[in-house]
Amino acid sequence: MKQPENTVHLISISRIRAKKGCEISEITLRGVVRETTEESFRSYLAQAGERSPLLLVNFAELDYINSTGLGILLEQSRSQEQRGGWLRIVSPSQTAAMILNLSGVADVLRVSETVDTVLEDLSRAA
Amino acid sequence: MARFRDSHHSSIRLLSGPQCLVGLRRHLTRFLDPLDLDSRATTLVLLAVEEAAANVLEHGYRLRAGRPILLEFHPLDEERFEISLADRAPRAVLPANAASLRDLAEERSERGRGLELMRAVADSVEHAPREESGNTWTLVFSAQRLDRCVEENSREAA
Repeated sequence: MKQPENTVHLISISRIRAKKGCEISEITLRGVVRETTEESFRSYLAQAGERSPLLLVNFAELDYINSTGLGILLEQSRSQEQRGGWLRIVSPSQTAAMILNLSGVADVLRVSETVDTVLEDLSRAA
Repeated sequence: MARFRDSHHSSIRLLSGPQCLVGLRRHLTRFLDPLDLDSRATTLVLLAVEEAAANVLEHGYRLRAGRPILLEFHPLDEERFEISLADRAPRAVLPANAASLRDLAEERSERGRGLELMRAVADSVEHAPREESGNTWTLVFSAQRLDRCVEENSREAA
């Protein structure tokens, strides 16, 4: 089995304007979160989280995340909640979804299939 | 069906340091490749063993470089194999009442889920002090549990 490379790349940080002027920050990452990339992951999340209390983390191209990475994700979610917002995960790859489920993180953070699903949820909640 | 018995015992001596887990993954992948596991099952084994090794490096060797870790792979029977890590670190003390993964997630805990992740994936996780000094961590994996673990944790997002 070919192992994924040992890097995490920031693909994009963008703003999504939802209904009622609410703005969501979306970060898309590619690669793996493990000992060699944990600090980059932490810094990318913090950067995206600063833009809005509502943070979407797109894991469609994330191939792996270790326990420290999960901890960083939860810590960032706490920081978003302290600002009255949330952190949600969107479109996780098969492997990322499996690790999020196994670790119980998917029971605590909302995991959505698409950005549209999140926007629909927000409209319904409004 | 996996035929683990046909694979061979293998071992490799690694040294602690920044490249240790990179080497561990490379060798583990070499051990696991002939087993013909589902790629997600392989990922789970790598996750569990990496967590064990990360604990040795961080808590055992306190991130000091150049200390030995012996990684061994043993096929046990047709359905099970064992991976062990032996170190020369001070005797490890395991937490008496470990929190569940769900509780750790609820608490937004940044640390402390490595051992529970190992237990979630492996059939057994055992720690034994070595005679002179150090610890041996032994993880037993079975095809059945790995398949179940993949299946149970592959549910779709909402």
